[in-house]
Amino acid sequence: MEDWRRIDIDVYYPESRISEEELKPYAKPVSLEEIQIKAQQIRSLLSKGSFIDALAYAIDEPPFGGDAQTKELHLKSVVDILTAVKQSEISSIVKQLTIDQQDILVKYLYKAMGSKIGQQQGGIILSWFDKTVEITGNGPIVRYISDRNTV
Amino acid sequence: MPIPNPIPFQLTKEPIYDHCFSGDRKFVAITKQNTAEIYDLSNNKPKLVTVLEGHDKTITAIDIAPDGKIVTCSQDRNAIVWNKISGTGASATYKSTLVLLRINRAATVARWSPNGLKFAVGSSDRIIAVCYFEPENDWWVSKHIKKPLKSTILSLDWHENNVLLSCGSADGHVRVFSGFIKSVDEKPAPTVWGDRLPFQTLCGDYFLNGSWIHDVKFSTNGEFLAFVSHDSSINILYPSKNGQEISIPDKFYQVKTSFLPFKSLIFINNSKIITAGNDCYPVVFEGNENSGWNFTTSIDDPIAKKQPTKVITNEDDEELNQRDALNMFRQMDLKGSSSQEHSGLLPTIHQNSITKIRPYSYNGQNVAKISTSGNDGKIVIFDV
Repeated sequence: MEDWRRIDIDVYYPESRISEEELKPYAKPVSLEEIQIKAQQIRSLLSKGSFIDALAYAIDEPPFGGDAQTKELHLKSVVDILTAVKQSEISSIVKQLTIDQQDILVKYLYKAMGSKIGQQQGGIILSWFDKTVEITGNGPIVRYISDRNTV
Repeated sequence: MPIPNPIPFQLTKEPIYDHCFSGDRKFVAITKQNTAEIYDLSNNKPKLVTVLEGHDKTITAIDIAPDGKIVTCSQDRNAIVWNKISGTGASATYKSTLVLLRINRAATVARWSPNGLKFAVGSSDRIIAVCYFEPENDWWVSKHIKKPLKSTILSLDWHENNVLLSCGSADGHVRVFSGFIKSVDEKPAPTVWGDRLPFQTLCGDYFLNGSWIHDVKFSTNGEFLAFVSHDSSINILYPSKNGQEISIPDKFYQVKTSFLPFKSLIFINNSKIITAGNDCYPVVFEGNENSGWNFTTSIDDPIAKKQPTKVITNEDDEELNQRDALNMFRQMDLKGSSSQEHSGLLPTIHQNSITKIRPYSYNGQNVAKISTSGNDGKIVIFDV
């Protein structure tokens, strides 16, 4: 009896059981190839030095519907952009983003903090996070936590 | 003594999950742990007049019908209807009637239909129980709305036609059902939500991003919906005009904000909404179907204020003063001083999340004053 809080009582109500899939919003499937093409496009934008275009391009249509590998590849592209930008330019770039883009940016910052790729650039990610939230307020953080569309 | 504006009342040190004023606005009923308490606020000094005892676990919602009947629902899986049998004010006595909810988990929300003939109870048993009185048996019975609910119901709102019922749930769905009860209701006139409405008809089912829907309300004219979700957004939804597509709205506006999540909302009129929640002060959104909706202003804005507001406390509640003293010593211990700016108080009136907003008074069709309840045990009346 002592462990009653851990009893899975939902198994007794199979018809009203909710699956993880049912909670997810519909997201268009994204293939690895599409993201590889995107990654190339981002690299060429970066080499031209147009950081804001590269960032907007990368986070405008994030691969919500991709598998883990696809998402990981796109994260790498985003981290490449973030590390290419000078510290002093972060604020002005964030200000130029739309509110939807800012939300996605914060999602990527959190994902980066939780992955190897991002942790190698920890200082840069933290300073992006600091400067972004200063401009956007708490909203994007709450949306990162509650939104079931994950990047 | 001048009446402050807004008017804050500190009624308890426990969180107030829900509150409701009596029709004449003299009394307010609040939830307080396993009991509900009724306070007389008519002299601008709160006076406890009645304690409603009958639930075994935390009361989650309270509502008062136009004729004065009170309904409470609780985590003990029960709802109770309280009928005043004699007396007024402090001498009023209530008779409690248990409602046959037939649910196996906590009841989360209870709301009377506008005419007060029936009420709906939401639960974490994935059921909405629509309850009505059976005079033959002298008993409140319920009919269940089950499909396609698969998650805890967090909010309910009746359409003014007493038939349509909107609900928000923890799986991120906003739904509109028919709560038509043959023996109680007359056949409703057709609305944008549909014209044939047998019980449990699903008239709308909208899904956004999966975050919890904390509150949902019909607009003043009943033709569209607004809801607040845990992603700090307020969403306004106009249903499809032909009534065919129940999951694709005709127009939809999501206003993402930089506030903390909102817990409650009310319509002031068809072009103005007030919301409040974890940020402890109400904020205003304005707009319409064609131009979209936007944040316009804050009420009790913490940035504009410096001083914490003095509140009217319950006269015999010594514990509140004890808490103030405790706070003072804690500040002295932590910071070496107990001066006002280090008092740890928020500049807003509410010192914790706002749990519910209710209309308090009307000016023609518009809401003129609102009342809010908070986890800090306060009831506050704001001018809009």
